[in-house]
Amino acid sequence: MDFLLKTAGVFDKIARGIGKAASWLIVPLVFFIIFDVVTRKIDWIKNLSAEVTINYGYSVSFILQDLEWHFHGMLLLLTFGFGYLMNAHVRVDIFREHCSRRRQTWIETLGLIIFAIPFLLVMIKFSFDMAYASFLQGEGSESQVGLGWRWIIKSFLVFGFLVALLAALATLFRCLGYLFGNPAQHAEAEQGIQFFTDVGVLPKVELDENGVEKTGTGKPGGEG
Amino acid sequence: MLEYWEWFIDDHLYEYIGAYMFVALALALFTGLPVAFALGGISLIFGLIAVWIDAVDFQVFFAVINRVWGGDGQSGAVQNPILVAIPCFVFMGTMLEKSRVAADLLHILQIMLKRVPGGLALSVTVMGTIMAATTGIIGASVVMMTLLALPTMLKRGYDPALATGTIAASATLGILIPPSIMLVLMANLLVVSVGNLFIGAILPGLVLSGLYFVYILVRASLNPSIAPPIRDDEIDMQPGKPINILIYVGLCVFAVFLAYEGDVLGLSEDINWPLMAFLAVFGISMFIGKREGNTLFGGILKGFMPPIFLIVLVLGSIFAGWATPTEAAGVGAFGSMILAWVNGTLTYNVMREVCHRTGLTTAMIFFIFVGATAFSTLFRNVYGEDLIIEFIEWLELSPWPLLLLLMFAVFMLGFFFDFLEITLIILPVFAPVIRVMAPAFAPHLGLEPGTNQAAIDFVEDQVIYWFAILVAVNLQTSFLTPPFGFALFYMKGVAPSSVKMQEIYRGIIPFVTLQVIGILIVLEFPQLALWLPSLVFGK
Repeated sequence: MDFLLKTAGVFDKIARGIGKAASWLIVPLVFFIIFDVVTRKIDWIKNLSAEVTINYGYSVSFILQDLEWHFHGMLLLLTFGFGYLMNAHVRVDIFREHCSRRRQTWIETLGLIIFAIPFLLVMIKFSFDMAYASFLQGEGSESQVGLGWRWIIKSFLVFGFLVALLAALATLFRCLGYLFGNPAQHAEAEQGIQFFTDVGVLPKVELDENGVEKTGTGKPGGEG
Repeated sequence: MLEYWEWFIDDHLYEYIGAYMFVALALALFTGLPVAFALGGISLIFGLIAVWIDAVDFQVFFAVINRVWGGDGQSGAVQNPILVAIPCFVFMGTMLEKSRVAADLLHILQIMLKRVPGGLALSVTVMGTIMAATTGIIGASVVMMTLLALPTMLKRGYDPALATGTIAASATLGILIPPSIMLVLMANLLVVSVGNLFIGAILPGLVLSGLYFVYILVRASLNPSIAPPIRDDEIDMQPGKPINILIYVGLCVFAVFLAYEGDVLGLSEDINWPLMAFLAVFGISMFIGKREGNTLFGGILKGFMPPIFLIVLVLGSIFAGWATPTEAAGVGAFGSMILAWVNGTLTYNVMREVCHRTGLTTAMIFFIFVGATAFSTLFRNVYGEDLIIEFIEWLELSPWPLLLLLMFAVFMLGFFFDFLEITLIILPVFAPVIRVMAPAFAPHLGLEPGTNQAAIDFVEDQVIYWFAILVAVNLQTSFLTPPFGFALFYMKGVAPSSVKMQEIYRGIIPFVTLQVIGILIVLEFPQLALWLPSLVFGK
């Protein structure tokens, strides 16, 4: 059981770290869009990128637009696990909030074993098939002048679901520790479990005298 | 017995597996598991059952991944340029919370409306409407508005029910008034233009805001004790230094002159001068606003210019056709960073927090998207959609009662579910039905039923836009309806502990009634949703 809890800690750290890092992808995404919009309106940059297209067979604007959805895809796929660990995914809590912590843990355990983990495994299998097929075919951009190597972004489907699986396993191990562990393990697992309805889900927010939200009071990244 | 079992498997289950799937989903959702897990798990279990009775092949899950991926230009989460708008709008809304924009706006509105009965509640409504045009999410904005306005309202002796109802209703306008991530998702699912839907939602949003306004005004006039006026000496402001006003007007006139008469001075054609002039006016306003400090003129500049800046940047560029909604979202996200920087709140910590929250919200939206895609793909492959259409034919309803029934169903679902589940699961099921019914609604929309294919498509699209706006207003209500109105939850989470949940519930009832009136108005006058887009995009 100690081993399970330790593994849960490691999985949690990995999924959380990847999710936090992936969250930053929104910044380059915004800059790609800005760059694309601005440069399309300026003539000498337009001429320059037209030359690139003629000489090298790539279009700057198409590459930027491909990059936009590439980054969007990485952002959304890699944060699935982070979202689960932060309990950010929507739940319909109407009955669950009346249950005891132990019963909530039972529900989550069964849900993870019956629903989540098999589903994620199937998704991983088929997204691997998809990425692998793309790699074998040497699939590139539909527009011919955009970003090639489609298999790279397609393999992020696999990574995304893998990270989500790590988060699901981490939670599952903690649930098992909570349900079947000795008192010390029980307490440790209880600390790590994120889905109890009696704990404030929303981060505590405060305003300072200017009406600006104080930073650091709510911890969006959570501990760990 | 065995015979019965064979009949059950071979005929009954084979035909009605879609119906069982829906029932099982409802049960699974109420366990309180993450919705995405419930959707995915149910589709996997029923996929296996369907494989077992030879209804589908296991490769159907490859189709799921294919649809999650996208790439066909309409559906899909990853290779889908339209949905790139969603993280950008989320970032923009979250960043805006961290800048002082809302606080400055509320401050000046409060002063301008102080002589009107219920002035504080009215300024919250106006602030909600203006902020709604700059942000595409709710949740965060409910938290923000509650923190800003509720303590002040309670201190001034406002009735807690009226105060909380006003704040919750006004804050949720953000999800209806464009830009809105809900409308982006809807347009994606219904395969219609995002820009068109955005512009169509403006007037219905303003109608709702107007309804709130009138309601508050009437109640505050009839019974001043629930909304006491502000004493005159409490907030008083100097009108502003004439010299600054003079400098301001002069600089603005100069900037506009440059924009339109630039070639007289031999300015380069390479640069978009109107845009430059717009940026210059913004810069001048912020600078003079800072210089003025705490006067009426400075307050107006600091309060109104930032939201106007963002609204012009995002909605203006869609309106004028300069940018696609996705690009407008990116530009808006950048604009919100500039606003935070101008107000001096853009630090590393803020940036990290905003990025993390954006990541979490994006994950929440798209994880449900993945689950719902799995569910709808399976549902379609076991002919569940045919079951629904058969069921509706069996009801033998004419189009109007059917539309009302669908609206009522969405309204009722709103009591328990969030807009995401309803949009992603229910909308794809209902939309084909409405498409079939489109010719029956054509006269109500003031259109001729089409004779050739293009005209038929046009009528269908118009009916779908109208339907989408109706659902959008309906789903905004779902944030307000107890027991599972998300706005009420967010509000309770940050409200002073003296405010009871019962008071919040009591306060929201009149506003839900106003929402229903709003839906009826849009039902009766479809031009509210269709006139503005037809003006902008032509016929």
